[in-house]
Amino acid sequence: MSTEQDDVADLVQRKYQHGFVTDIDEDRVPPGLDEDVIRLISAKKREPEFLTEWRLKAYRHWLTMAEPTWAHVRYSPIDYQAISYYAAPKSNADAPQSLDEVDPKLLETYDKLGIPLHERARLAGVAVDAVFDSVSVATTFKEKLAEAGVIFCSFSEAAQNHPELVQRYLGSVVPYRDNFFAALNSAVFSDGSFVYVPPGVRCPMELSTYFRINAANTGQFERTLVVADAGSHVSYLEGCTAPMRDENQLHAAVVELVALEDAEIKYSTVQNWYPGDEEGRGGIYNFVTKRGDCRGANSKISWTQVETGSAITWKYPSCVLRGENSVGEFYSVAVANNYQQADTGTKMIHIGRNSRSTIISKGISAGHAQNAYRGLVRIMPTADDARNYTQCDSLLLGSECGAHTFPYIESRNRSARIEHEATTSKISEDQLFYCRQRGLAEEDAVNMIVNGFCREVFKELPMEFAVEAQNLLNVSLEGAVG
Amino acid sequence: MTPADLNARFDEHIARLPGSTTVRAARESAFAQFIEHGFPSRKTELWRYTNIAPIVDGGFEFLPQNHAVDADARQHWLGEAGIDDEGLAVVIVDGTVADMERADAGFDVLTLSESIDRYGMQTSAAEFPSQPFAALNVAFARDGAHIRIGYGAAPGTPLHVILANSAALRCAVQPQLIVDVAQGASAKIVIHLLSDSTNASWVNLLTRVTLARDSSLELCRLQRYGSATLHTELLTAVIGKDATLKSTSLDIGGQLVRNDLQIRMQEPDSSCDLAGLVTPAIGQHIDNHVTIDHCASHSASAQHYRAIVGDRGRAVFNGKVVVHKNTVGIEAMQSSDNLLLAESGEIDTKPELEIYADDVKCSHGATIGEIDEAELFYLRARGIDEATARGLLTLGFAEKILERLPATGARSAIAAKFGLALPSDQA
Repeated sequence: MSTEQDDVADLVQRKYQHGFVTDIDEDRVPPGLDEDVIRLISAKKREPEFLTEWRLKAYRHWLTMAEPTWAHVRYSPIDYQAISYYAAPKSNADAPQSLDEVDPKLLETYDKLGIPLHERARLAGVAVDAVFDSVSVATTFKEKLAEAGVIFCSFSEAAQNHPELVQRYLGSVVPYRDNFFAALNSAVFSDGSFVYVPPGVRCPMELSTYFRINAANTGQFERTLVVADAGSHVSYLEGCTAPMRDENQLHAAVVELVALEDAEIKYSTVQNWYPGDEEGRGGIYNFVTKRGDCRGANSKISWTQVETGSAITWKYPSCVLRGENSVGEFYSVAVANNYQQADTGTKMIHIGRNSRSTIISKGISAGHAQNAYRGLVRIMPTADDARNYTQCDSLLLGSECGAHTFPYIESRNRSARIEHEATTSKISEDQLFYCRQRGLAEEDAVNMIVNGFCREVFKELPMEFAVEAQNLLNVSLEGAVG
Repeated sequence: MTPADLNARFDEHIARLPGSTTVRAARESAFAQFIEHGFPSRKTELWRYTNIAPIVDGGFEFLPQNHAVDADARQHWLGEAGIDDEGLAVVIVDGTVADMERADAGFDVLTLSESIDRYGMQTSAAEFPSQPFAALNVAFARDGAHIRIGYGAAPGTPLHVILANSAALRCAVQPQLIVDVAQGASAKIVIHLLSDSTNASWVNLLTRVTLARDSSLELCRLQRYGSATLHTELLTAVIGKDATLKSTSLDIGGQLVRNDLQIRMQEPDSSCDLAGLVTPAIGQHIDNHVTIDHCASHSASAQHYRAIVGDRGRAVFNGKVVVHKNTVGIEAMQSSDNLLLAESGEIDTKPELEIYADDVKCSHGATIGEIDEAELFYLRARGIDEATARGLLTLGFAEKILERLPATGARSAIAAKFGLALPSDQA
């Protein structure tokens, strides 16, 4: 019989035995977070035991952590107990196998947002693992990928069907102790994508996921894991949009990439979450931990991001260059308009000999926005002949906005070479005059100059994304100039 | 030396320091500010690269006895500083100012205690809330110099200020330099930081510079301590309309050296040009932290910082430019170039920009690397042996900063420190 001295863990255990699990058919967990909620999420997803334990460890560690305050952003405090940590679309119960089985209402929503899911999948040859709220609803082209041996599925499926891969790689790049938001994500992550490319395989198509936030008050905690085995190659596209909304929403995703020997991963993001209205009300809080591990020799990880949305962006896609001759790249365009705040950048940790990294960051601030680049280049004593080149430029549109640069450069190896340059300026009158003299309207001239400013990054995007990104940029900056 | 230890002996210390009751109040509030935060830890962003344990654990005697500095000592340190003629020089030995001739060559010099008697405490810790060491200096400052350059004055020769340390005790020396440049005046001050090779004092210097309208000041700071001296410093400067500050610092010696510069471009058309060279090796840590606040329109700033890092040396540079709201026509340039000569050296550099206005031209660049193979090849192809070629390239890298300083044997000191071979006519 239990005594009053029972520790907390025991108490929790008892509650669990009495079974929250009976609620398994409910598709929304009431707001709040404790160990029961985590066990419930895990149980609903029929996760293996190790994953439940991992979530609980993450949660217990999260409790000991404080929310970071070092970023150059301001926001009202987040009440983590007011968030509902799990929501599944109604149609999930029968777990649709193909698009035909998907609730037509969901597909309609995608259509409204201009994401012709099946059309794109069929015509462009893109396999799409769409995440609607927290559960995958459609996975296409699975067979074609299966032929090549590529595993591309939702995270929950991976946990059930490939537990050995998940156990081996989950948390190996971003451990649950990594930071406040990563710990929270590790405890409550709802779903996401899992990719495994077997040795020597070149993934036959671009893999793509559309993230969406829909149900009000539901934080989204995506978890993505991409593993490229020796000699393989994969390109992954991630794009997001969110519907108009008045309430702040928390989005704390974690993306882990693992590139083994001679493998290459290209990860592209177009992020266009709801940025809040012109007065800065509402909008998504985007606190993301993205990290790639170039574990094998000659491996390469390339991050490309176009960040136009979110009220607050806190995001540092990083590369740990462990392997000899490994390569890390970061290409970023971050646009902040109205009252948006972005604190974004990258970390390049050079450990392996001859590792190389390139950072190209373009920040555009308009309205009352604050846009900061924060980057770290660290050369460890083992990284002989390491090489880094960093360029971060900021463009200011309007006198009320801010552009900031916080680069950290640490070298502990004599043979390493590091170059960093940064500029901040507005569009010069000369440039504008030159364009206008040739008959361009002022807004077109500004658009042209801004697009030129971002060209180095856009050319890294896959074709269809590059066009989309340019349009997105023009829309984001509408009314900011002139 | 914990903050609690200091607190326990604060009254005893302060009783022996100059100043009236108002000065005492200023000291008390500065000390309270220090106690509130204590010594900074590496968890504080501004101190993340600086380990101040040698200071905290150094067991320094906070208030050495007052002592007179005789003429011989003064002469000795003038010689050490390389000043041969009996020019105007302020010599401060172990925190006490040596008697000097007050020859009026355009500089009006008071000792700090004279200045405190006459004007009260000129520095206030509230001006630098994030500088615990400067607050400590205000609380315990005993001696130093108050240098004034009068309206329109333009002294033809520079004023030398020598801060020398020879005490056998581990002393915590808290000197203060106050420099007021009046309207239209223009002057040059050379600060020499020296110590005996065995000296293990901790010097916590506070320098406060005010530049009135149309004035200009050139500040040269040559630090050639012995290898055991510790040094923390805050230089604050407020620059008026059309005024210019040019500052160059060279750090060769010392065990742990941390220099903070807070420059405020207070009025329109002000400008500053800062440069520094640090040469840490054999376990030295040398750190430059610069913050430039552009508070007024059409102000311009430039920073050129270089480091040559040898065996187990660590160089840190943190340069921050803040462009405040409602300013136009700001130009800010910042460069940090670093040469890593040894496997075991470390360089950390952080050139930051924080910009809240749009009519700006700001840029920064940072490089870290070893000696360029192509340059080496170029020299060797012309018949120069490898060691000499390396020596020339290393000193050539330093030259950009050294050329701004008076010739005081800095080149040969650097060559000796890194064992550089030079052609016979260069040595």
